[in-house]
Amino acid sequence: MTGCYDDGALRAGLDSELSAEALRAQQDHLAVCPECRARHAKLKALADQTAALLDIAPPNVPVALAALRRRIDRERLALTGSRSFHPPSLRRSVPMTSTRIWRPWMGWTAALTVVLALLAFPPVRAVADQLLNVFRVQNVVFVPITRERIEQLQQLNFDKQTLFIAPPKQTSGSSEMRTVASLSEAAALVGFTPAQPALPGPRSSAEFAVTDRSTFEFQVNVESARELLRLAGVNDVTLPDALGAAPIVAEMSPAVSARYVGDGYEVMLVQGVSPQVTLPAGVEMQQLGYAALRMLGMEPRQAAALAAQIDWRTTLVFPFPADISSLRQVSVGGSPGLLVSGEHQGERRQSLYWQRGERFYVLAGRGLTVEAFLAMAESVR
Amino acid sequence: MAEHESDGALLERLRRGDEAAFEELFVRHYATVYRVLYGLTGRREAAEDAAQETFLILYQRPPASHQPLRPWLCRVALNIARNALRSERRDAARVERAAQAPTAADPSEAAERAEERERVRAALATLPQRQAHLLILRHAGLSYAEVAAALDLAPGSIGTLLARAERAFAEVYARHLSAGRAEQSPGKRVQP
Repeated sequence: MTGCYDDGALRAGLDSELSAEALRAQQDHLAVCPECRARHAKLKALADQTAALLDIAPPNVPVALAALRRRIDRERLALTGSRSFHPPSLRRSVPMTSTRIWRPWMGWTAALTVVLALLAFPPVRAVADQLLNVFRVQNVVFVPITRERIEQLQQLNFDKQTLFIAPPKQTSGSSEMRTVASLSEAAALVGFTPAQPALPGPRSSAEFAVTDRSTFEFQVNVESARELLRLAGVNDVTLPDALGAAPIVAEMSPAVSARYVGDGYEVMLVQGVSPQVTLPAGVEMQQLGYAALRMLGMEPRQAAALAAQIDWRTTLVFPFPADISSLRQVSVGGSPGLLVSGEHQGERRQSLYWQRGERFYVLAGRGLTVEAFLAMAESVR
Repeated sequence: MAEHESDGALLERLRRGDEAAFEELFVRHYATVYRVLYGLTGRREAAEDAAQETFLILYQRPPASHQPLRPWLCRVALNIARNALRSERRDAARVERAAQAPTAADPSEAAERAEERERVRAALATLPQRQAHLLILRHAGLSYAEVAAALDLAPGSIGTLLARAERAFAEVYARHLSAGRAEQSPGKRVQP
């Protein structure tokens, strides 16, 4: 007999996994071909037997859902309202900020920082830490980003050096930290009284330093920024020419850094006031924010809604890689903060970023348990 | 009648923090995930635990809305079950529970069912992993396209692979069945 079917086609026919036309042709053939009919019957018997053996009693879905709900609530509670278990964190603006000495490329507006940050993404874990360490902003919005999107962005054929017409430069003040003898000396220089943590044990040494007020400027190459968006598949944003027409100015406020070393631990607390960013006239931050969210892979409608809610002048969009387990939101004296924890060469390290009023705090520690570390953060007054 | 909202639309809502969307996805796909996990573990409790883990991951880290959800859920479930089974093998005591929890009214019928479940599980464990996964996913209700996506197979090859897997399964199941009968034969039972 010609036109016979192989087992695969007959098996697919049993499951109606063929087009209607192919299925009809197969049935017509089976009607006239005893050999295929016999194989078809045998395949059907095997399929039925397998189905019967693999058949199980259906689960109780409402009970399972209730059990999962309880677990989610329990875990949420255990983390004291800290790490969010779902995307609502995305719309929750978490007051916080960051620190470390200003680096040349830091003077970036909130939205476009994301563009740069994403380009500098690998390895993701390191970047998560680095991102928070290099920007001083008043708010952070967590935006989940998938591995696939991260990979896509990493593979863009784009030279990030071309993003600037004029690379970031310091126009006033000093970005260097100056060592001072005591916190009271630091207070006199920066104009506010720095808070102190309760240390986990006697300290063997303490160092204090201040960063002066300073101003940075940089100018964007709009054509290059547009090319970047195009490469990333973001075609529904037109960056205004005005973005590159004048320098973007970032004014950094003074900050105080204190480092304490004791038996088996080392902590560093940096505190200061958030910077001010000034954009060229005619540039809408919201539009840049929208572009950044689209870069992260967000759908247009969602990105538009979120972009409208955020004060982009003071907000850092933090791409939150879906599988980072060492990051979580925590509560510090009632304020939400972001905890980055991990091990480095067998030693526990944590960094925590939070904000109280206009002041930002960054606490970094090593040699402490997470609990002891968080307790110390709570003690910062 | 209310319009049936696609998985993609629900995922989009879930990503925006819509709890109702999560519940809808849970109700829609829990039974499938549970069936897959039951097929792998052979036990209700283990399947429930792993299904809960699977949906917790969906809740915490939903996939992109364009990604077909059932294959994604099944891949997550297969990974969870694999890890669970691996750690379980280290804990021999728990294997003892494998044939427990009879549910039928008649105890002898329940024991028989438990034995059959154990034979099915043992037969699936004897098959090459891909064949076992293919059978479990297909018989949990996934379409050929979904099975192909979950197991990284060509959609056009599923019919052939499935026919082969069902034949292999029937053979190993029959072997387990006759081995079981030999063990239960009266002559053997009275052995001191």
